[in-house]
Amino acid sequence: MTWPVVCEACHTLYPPREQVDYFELLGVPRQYDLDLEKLRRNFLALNRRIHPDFFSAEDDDVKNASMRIAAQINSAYETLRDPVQRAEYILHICGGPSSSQDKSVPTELLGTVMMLRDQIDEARQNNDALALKTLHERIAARRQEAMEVVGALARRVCQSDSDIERAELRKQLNASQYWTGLLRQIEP
Amino acid sequence: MPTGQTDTIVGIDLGTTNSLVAYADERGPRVIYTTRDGARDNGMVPSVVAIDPAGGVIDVGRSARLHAIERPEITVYSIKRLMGRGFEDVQEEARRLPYRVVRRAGGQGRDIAAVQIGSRVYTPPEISAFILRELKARAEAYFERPISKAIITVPAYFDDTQRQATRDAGKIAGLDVIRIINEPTAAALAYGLDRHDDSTIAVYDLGGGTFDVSILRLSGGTFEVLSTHGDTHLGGDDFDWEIIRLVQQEVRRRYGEHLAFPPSTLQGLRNLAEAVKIRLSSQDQVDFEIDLGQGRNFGMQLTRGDLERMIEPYVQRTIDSCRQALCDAKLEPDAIDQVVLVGGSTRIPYVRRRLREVFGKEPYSALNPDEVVALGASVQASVMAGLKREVLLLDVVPLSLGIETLGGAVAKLILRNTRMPCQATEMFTTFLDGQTSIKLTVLQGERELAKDCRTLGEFELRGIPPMPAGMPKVQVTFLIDQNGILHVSAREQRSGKEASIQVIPAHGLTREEVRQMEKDAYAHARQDMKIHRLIDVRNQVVFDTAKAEQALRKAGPTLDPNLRKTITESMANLRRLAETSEDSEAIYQALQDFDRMTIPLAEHAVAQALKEAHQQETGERNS
Repeated sequence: MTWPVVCEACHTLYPPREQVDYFELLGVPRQYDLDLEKLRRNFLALNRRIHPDFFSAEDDDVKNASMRIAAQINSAYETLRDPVQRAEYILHICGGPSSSQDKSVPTELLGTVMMLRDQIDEARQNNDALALKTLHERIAARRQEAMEVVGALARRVCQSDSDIERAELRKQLNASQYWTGLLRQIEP
Repeated sequence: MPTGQTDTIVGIDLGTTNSLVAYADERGPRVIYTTRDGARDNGMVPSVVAIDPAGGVIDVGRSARLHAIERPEITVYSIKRLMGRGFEDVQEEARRLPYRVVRRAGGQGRDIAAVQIGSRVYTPPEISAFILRELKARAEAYFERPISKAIITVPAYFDDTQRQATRDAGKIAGLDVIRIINEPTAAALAYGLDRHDDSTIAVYDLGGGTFDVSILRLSGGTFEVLSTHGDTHLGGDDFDWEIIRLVQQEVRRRYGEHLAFPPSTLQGLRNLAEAVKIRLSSQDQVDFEIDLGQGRNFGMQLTRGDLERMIEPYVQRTIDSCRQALCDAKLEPDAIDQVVLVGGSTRIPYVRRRLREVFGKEPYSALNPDEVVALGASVQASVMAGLKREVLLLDVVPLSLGIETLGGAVAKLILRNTRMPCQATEMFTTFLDGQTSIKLTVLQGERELAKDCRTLGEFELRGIPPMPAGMPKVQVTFLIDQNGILHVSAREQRSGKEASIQVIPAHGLTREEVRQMEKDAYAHARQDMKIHRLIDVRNQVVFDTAKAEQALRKAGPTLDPNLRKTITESMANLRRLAETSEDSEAIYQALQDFDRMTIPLAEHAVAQALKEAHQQETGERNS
């Protein structure tokens, strides 16, 4: 295994770059479907080579470099580990819009979300545990569905180089945020 | 005695109640039981400092604690509770403390809680530095050489300011604090060092003044913190105060509401409460008597049930923290393989019972809860010294980091439980034409409003090239390092110019202040050493001249009169010098010369003794 941040032969750190490709950094293929166990193994193996604790006797420059690289690795790992963030990252590196640039959501979503919010409030007021449980299951299922759509789009979006697909992935990612928000609302 | 290391790094547990120093090598970690005088004890240095109101320290540790009852107003304990805090924050704590807690004048709207003894004001890092210096002296007595590098542990839930204060304390004590690690993580290191199976553990750390819980995943030498939660103001001290409150209530019921408790009685009550609490861990009830003076003795009984009722709300808070940590780690309680206990308060049976209920298993208590944090710190020290490479610590940020936005809201930049080191960047611009600086208020905490979070400080970005309003693009990078300490840097994107940053810590010390305290402390230490040395060398003069005088008397007429004269003269000179001079080096030199001069005298004495013995022998034979 070779890493883009450290020389495997002499253990010298390369100067940290402002931008790094998270997939390249953690030595996994640039795709939506990832072997999470391998991701974790690589994350730990890389830390064993670059973690600041192993450079405490070095000059400040080296110490700072290892700290910045470690921060990048942590951020890469957090991003790739989580399916929503991973899809966001794929959309970003494929030139898609960010959530602040494009806030659109599927047409029927807002109505459904509002309705479900009312139902949650009502069930809470009535202390209706059964209704809450049913709502919880329904929302979790809808989020699961949304994530499947996100996954399918994220697998294609880089190959197709299509603005329409990128916009669609953006829209579905925005939708998944609503589902996550609803889940947070219903979980105690 | 360990040998061969050029760069010895020790691990220090700087506790609310007790502090310890430990060291690890290929034989494993161990607490240093050597005192500064080379004697041995149990390694626990009470975190207590007695300060002379005229200036200077009287005692640190066990001997300082002895002052607590007679002179509570000059005996500083539980200083950790004041570390990195504002005077306003500590009002409640201050009421319980017999010494004077004051607001240190800091200027620029800063608010630092400090301690006043006599006319001098000491900041918490300065007080802590006295304790650290004691630990440093122990390590130096053990290794018989200077020690200047250390790893210090802090509660996982300490914020940036409290961590900075801890590092400042090290600096003032002449220690280069090369790493700050979290106490529960240190405990996990000591626990998991010899375990090679993968497991998920919860470390429950209830000390004298702080509480932490951390969930960790251990695999192949990697100690990965998944989540952490806690309370920096919850601990065994609170249990003691519940007992004190109850006793006061009972006493007042008997003797009237007007009864006041002087500080010395309060201190006595504190010791009593602690003793009662400890005894109730092994006994079902304790009977005790309090001497209220004027011949009044007040007797009382407390059962284990009474204690459990009193501490229940506190223990409940720790249980809530455990549940939050589990939730943040996305784990159910049964996913935890082992619950590791740390801190003296985990000896309380009620605490163990509640943990058993939550986690469904017997907590692990084979480690000495008093030593485990220091031992873990020393393991990390050996990693940092390059002696050990198989251990890797990955820890998380305990509190979210944010900046204050217009209207007093908080924009979160780094969320809690993010792995350290971590960084976030944010763009800022100007509101006025030609504006060359921008002020940011940096906060730590989970609440939505700035006023409910901890203000770390004001960061002023300077040197922005003058441009029309809204034109500059200042990219600010917030980096939290592996110690949980924040570093801020800024660059104006259009000009590429690095902006300078002035930090005004809300409750902390500036770099200049720390440097000054370090210098003062060093000067004091040298002054102390000089005084010590002067006393030592003067004592030696008294001793050596007395010995020589005796030898002269004994030598009698057989001694060369010239030698007798020179010795007598130089003896008088040396005594005069020792009495009048403050220069220990000059006295020492004169003493050395004198000692050399008296060698013939000593030889003469030996020869004479032999002759006498011979004469006696022959005399006996002749008679």
